[in-house]
Amino acid sequence: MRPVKALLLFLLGILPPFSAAAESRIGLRPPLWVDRDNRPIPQPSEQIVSELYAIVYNSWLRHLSLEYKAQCARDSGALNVNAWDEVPDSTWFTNRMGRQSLSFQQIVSGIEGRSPKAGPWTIIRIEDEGYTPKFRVQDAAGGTYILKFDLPSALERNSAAERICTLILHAAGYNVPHNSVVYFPAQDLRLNKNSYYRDAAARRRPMTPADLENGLGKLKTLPDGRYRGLASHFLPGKPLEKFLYTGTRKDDPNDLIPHELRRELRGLRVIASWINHADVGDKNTQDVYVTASDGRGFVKHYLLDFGSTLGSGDFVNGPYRVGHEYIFDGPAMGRAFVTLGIWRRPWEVQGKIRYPEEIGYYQAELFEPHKWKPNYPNLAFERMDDGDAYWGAKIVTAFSDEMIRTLAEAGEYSRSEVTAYLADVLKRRRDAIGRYWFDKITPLEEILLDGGRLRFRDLGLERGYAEEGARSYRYWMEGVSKKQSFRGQSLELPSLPPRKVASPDRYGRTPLARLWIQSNRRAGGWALPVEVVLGHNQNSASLGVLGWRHAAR
Amino acid sequence: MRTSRLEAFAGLAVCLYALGGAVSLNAQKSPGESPGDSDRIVTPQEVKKATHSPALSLLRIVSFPHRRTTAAMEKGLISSEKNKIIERFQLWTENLRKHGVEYRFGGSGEGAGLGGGGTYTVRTGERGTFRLLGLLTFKGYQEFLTQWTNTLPASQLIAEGSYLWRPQENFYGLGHGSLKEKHSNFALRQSWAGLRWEVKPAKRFRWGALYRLAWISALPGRNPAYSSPQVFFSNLPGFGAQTQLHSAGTYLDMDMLRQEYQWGGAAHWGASYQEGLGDRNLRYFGYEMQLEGRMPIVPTSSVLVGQANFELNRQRGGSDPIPFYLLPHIGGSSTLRGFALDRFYGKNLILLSLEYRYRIHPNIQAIPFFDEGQIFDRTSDLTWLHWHRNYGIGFRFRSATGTALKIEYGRSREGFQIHITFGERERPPLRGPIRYGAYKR
Repeated sequence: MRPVKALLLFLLGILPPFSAAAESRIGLRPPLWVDRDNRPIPQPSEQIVSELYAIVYNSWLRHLSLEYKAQCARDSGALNVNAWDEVPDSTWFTNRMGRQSLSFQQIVSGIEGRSPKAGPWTIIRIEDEGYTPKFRVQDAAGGTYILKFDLPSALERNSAAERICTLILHAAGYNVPHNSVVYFPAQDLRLNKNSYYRDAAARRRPMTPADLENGLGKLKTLPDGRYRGLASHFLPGKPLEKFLYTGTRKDDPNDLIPHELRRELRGLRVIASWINHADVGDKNTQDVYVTASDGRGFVKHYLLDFGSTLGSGDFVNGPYRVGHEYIFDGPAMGRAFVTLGIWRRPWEVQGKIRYPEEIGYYQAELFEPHKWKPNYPNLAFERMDDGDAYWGAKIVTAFSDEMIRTLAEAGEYSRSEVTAYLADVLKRRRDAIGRYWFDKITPLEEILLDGGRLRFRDLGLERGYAEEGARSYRYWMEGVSKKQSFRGQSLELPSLPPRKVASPDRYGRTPLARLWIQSNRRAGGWALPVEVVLGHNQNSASLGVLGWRHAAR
Repeated sequence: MRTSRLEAFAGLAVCLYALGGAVSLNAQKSPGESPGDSDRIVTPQEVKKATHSPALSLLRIVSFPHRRTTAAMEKGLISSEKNKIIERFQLWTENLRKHGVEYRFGGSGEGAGLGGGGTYTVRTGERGTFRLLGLLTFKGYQEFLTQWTNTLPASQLIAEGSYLWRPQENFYGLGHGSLKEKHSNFALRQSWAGLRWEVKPAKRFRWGALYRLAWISALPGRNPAYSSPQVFFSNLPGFGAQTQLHSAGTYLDMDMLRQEYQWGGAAHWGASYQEGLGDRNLRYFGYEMQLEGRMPIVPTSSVLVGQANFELNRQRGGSDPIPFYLLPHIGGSSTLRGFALDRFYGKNLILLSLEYRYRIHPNIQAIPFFDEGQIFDRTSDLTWLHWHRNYGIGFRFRSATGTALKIEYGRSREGFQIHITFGERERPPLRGPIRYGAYKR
């Protein structure tokens, strides 16, 4: 590499921390729990994406762009983060499990849509692409559903995975369709004169009973002769095709923040790592134009298609790669090349499938939360920083053992040992995530000033990823270099160093001081600090905590 | 000190970038606030400050070609996916296959250039199939084959005929010491018809016998960049006149190769007798042997592959010289990869090759290799120190059905060669006396 080019890249790399540090000096995001991005707008046009392009661009072509490299180097964190380092509710995300404890019933009832009424169902169309056909059906109540099926060789696998992960992602806060496991006899499916057949090339023709018979012939029935499938309720509103994990939708004025700078998309990497959702990409998204009574509406953003989660993927390059490597993984290929093939991927050697039919490749033994990868690079995931990862880990670890067991049961596996295995792996992967990210980043929440003492909750302790007896902290104030150690979840606040008082911001907050707290790590050393901003709130003369930020740089 | 334009540009970019950071810093100290945006987590101004800077604008200009190229690619792929081009193509292929038609992309062997063609296969009765193959390339190569196969219990009877037109074949002279500077090219026209009987007494063994009639002629080549062989080599046997001959041969194949990265071996032995027709007094025996052995190094991911190839020709007393184009030749992606295609011609050859094949991706193999070969007239000419040697590395991209693409870089004392090969051709049952494009390594 030419020295000048090397210097340029070096400077591009070192300058961002400088500007990030400058931003950190302000340190206060708006104290909002709702981001009003649902203002009425004219209906945008459909946005079609190419998966092949996403694979090619994200895997290789982006590396040729100096502009892309500079943007990554300048990244100073997600933009839609509030004063408490949380993501406000929006058309993308609604705080659920991360902020409060939800019951299973609350999770289920919170999803838009419903399960189909019992048959008969009228077939609108049959799509004959992929390994199994997809039916679009209408139930007696007029609800439209897509019926998807398991592979004959793997009954229960995809339908259970999709059902469970729909619930998990909804509980996490994402918009998802209503997916439910259904059982029906063949005679519940009816054709009418408008039913049509769509082949792999999207050509239509009127559907015949033979088409239905052929379609059902590709499926395996249950011992009682019924079929098992997954019914996905059509999303309410006008479909606008996909959203991208990068950039913004040009014809949506509400879509202000480049998607790669949205924390809920960056932090989704941690949640996806939990459920091994390697197929997370532009193609598995959906934008919908939701209209109000006056005909004006806004765009709502959904995640779709979780049938490849929990080890149930349609594997490219074998099942064991999923979650460990990209389909084309430069560093892994480079390592294999340089070592003349002597280096063998751990997952190649040790990967095991315990329940091939119902689950596939989903394990906790080889799971390393920070090394998890989707099928191909996702540009929002690539920009995930420690703060985003901590946010994702906070949601994942909010799922209790009891909740996980109930979620595993929602897959309706016929064998109880499969349910138990899945619940066990979910718990172990959740704990691996908690252990890693809560150790790397100081996991303090709900920081408040109470009678001169700064109190906080330590999620690491509360969720069992740190030991009370071994837990210690240290802090330091802005302008004071000395670091003070302490134990317990509170500390006596020292007197604030003198500082020029700034004028209140638009929310009436006057920041006065900052301090940083770090928790100790299991293997020694200190976790990335949480930065706490102290000052006066509007109409309050007393000092208080105005906000905080994890893994502040 | 002289400053290059690149350095000046880089310096400017860095300054602008730093300036961008400073502007951003100052701006963030007093964030733009507008009352209408108070219910948004960020304002448009804040987003702009976080994502724009003069340096980025400059880089955006620099990255314009990349952006335009990738945008055009995206547009094309979206259009293709929206219109289901791949799916339509697959359905079309499937429909053609139902009617016995299959298309082929790729050339007619190594050095034939890009091209394509198709096959038409039709069943003739319960056991028989009739197959037509046609291939054309942009370099003017033509290949046509008709083949009728009758499958009997544990055996096959095959009647076949072929026409081959190869207008730009390399020739550097005869013998081990032929010179690179004497690069000429000739055109080969070859027609043959024959009968073959193949027996499979066991799963891994195949025995066959064949009889062929052939008409072959070598003419001045069609590549104007190179001279005709006559310019360098007067009285080249077989040049300018048609050779008519008939040939009978037999072969035995043993295939103990199992999976890619397991112990295994394969062997091929063949012998044939050729006799000229008409006024040609050509009579010679041809013998060939190919051996391959595989030794796994790392189970399921790497294997050492050794190959040996011997071809010997023995003229009977009083025979005319063997036409040069019927002689064994080496050089190219299936023989000596560091040398030009068909670099050495001679009566006999030995070719040895050692490859270390290892997987760097489930669909990609890296293959460092070492080849060496020797051309000799008599066994006494064979010397252990006089080999043409090359080494190099190749990458093999595999699809579900076999090798899709092979890229090889070979280096020898004559420089380097890069070979790009699409797909692969099966090894012919018996090489002599027919000329084939290439065979599977």
